Amino acid sequence: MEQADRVEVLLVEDNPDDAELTMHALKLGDSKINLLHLNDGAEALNFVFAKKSFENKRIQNDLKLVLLDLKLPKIDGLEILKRIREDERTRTLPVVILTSSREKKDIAAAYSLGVNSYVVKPVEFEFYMHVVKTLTLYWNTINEKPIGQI
Amino acid sequence: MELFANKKPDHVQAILASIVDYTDDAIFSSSLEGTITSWNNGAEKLFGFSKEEALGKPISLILPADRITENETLTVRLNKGEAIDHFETERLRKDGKLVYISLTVSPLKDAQNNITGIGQIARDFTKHRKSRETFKALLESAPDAMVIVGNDGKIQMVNAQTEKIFLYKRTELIGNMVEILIPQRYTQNHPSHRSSFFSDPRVRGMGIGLELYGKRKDNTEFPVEISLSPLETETGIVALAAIRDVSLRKKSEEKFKALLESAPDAMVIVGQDGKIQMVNAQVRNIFQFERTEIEGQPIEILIPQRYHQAHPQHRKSFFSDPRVRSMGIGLELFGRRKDGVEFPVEISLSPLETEEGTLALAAIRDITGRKKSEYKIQQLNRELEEHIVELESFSYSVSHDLRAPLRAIDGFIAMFMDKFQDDVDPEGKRLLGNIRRNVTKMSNLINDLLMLSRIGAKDIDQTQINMKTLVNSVLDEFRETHSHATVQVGDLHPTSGDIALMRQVFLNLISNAFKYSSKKEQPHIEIGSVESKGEIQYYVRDNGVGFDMEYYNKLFGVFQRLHSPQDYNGTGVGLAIVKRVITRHGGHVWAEGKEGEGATFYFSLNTTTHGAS
Repeated sequence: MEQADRVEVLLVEDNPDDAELTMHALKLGDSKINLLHLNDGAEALNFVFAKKSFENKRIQNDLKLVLLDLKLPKIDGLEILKRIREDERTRTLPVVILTSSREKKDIAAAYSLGVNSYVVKPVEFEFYMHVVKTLTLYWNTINEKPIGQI
Repeated sequence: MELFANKKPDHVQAILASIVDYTDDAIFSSSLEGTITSWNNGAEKLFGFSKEEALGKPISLILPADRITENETLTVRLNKGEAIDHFETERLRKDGKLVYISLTVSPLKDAQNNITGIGQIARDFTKHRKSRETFKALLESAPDAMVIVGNDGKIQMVNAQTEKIFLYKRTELIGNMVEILIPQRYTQNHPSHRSSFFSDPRVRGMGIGLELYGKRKDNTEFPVEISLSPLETETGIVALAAIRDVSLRKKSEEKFKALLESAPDAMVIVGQDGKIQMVNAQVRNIFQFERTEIEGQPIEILIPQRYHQAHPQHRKSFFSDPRVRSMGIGLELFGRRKDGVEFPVEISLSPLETEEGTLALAAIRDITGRKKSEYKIQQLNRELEEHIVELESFSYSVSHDLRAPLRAIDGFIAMFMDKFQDDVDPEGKRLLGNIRRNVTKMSNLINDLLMLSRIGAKDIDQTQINMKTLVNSVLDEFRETHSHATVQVGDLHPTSGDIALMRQVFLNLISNAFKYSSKKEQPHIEIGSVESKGEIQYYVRDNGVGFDMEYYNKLFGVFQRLHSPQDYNGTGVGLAIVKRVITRHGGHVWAEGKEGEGATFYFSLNTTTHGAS
């Protein structure tokens, strides 16, 4: 887990290899990115809602994007998405599903829960780099952060 | 009047004269020479001649030409002292018309018993004759054999139908005992039946509930139905027997019974009173009841107790609108066996019009077997659905979990090559490149396999497809990479089907065509369709390497390849996908090829189910 004063991108990914590749790609895109990687769903919710180990830390205030895997220990990606959307404080927080699954039912469920984007991880590395860089560029730079979130 | 001259006291004579004068009968007399000597009022009325016109005239005045001999014969017989009973004859009226009469003729004698003249009493019989003729005509035209038998058992009269069905001439029957028409074995008891009819003569059917038979002249027998009526005649009471030949009806009854018996269902005939009138043999097999145990019983004997209350109302509504129908449509019906066990049935009802009114014919089918297999099918379907769900979760795992390590392999090699590019020599880089190429191949394999497994489970979305537009959009994807090939797109019939799957079919076939013709100097691809025998055949033809027909059976198999990956890369799943998609659409696939000369791949879709023009 990388700690930082403020976190702009939260990556929730349990597979350490995928996490390393994704972070590599993110840093290739922006070497100064403020990134936090968590590998289980419960931790991710604690972070977003400033509970338990994240209580009283203000680092989540600058959160611009959550990159969420679907298959996660304890609480899966769709459940995290649901809780984020149910809470008034995080209702507008940009969430992108980044997964290996192209299952129709997963895509349908994610969109009906209000995901901002659904991206399937490409196997081929160069393509993967390109996808992740494009994503962070879009949500961190191009897109305006919603107003009124924590 | 001289008729009574000097024989009786005057007042008696006057009374007699008055009676004679005022009776309705015509009373008149003539001398032996044939001169009319008396003529009463009745004679005036009957013949139209007044006393003045008749008296003193010859009796031939009222004789028609063809009756003159009759009158002479009568006179001769009277002179011999014979008595003449009344008989029916004709006489001439003043207006020239004939009048039908009953005539009594008697001699007139003097005190010495000498015959002095002839007295005649005539009564108008026109009406009588008419009603008798009507009766005879009625009898004659009756559709049944009509036989009139006296209480002595002798046949008095028969009609034409009697001659026809018993094969006797009228003259052979009249005067004979009626037993001539009855089979030998019944003749002994018949006279006592006959006398019991005459001791209580009323209209009745003969031998109700018995099978009756008539006997023809040639001694053959036939079934009959007989109704008896008493007829009062002048000679006493006679019996009128109306005899109907029921051979045909018996035959059709037997046919009906045979039909009923041979039916594969239990057949039960029920009257409006709800009682079972007739059943067939199947009833025993299905309900375990013997025929004799249930005929005459209420139909409820075959129905589970819980339906007994409602059933009479259902029966009533059937009889109020009797037509062929299924019983309890959409409901589960049950029959009840003799041992009380219930079983599922299907019942169809038909009205039977009979002499005793409308009956219900119920055809009852035991559907235990069918219900069992329905249940089994449902169970198998459930299992199949479970398998499909399992398969889906398997695909999911393949899709998610097999891709992740591949991505890691590829990613870390790429990162390694990036980080240590100065430390790896060209051979090392080549080897690492081989690893990455295989990762891509494995990834493609996983994608193809996933697609193949999903086509089987996926529902087909039927939409209208413009195949020409579809093919052109597929070709657009190859424009850049295969710009040197010539492509000719012919007529393409529109069809209906799943557009995404159909696109995959053309994508695979066209990509194969490009791939296997890529080493030709001038690659050429031809795409088109033809209509043949109710189906549309689409084809994709290339002039590439083709294939050996000897290995045709491997062409559409999964992971089957006829060319080495060094020459042409691919997963070996493409044609298997094509085959599965077309099969799911009810069509079929085939191919023709020759090594070195090219290949044509065909698939057909039905015109009737896919509505192509």
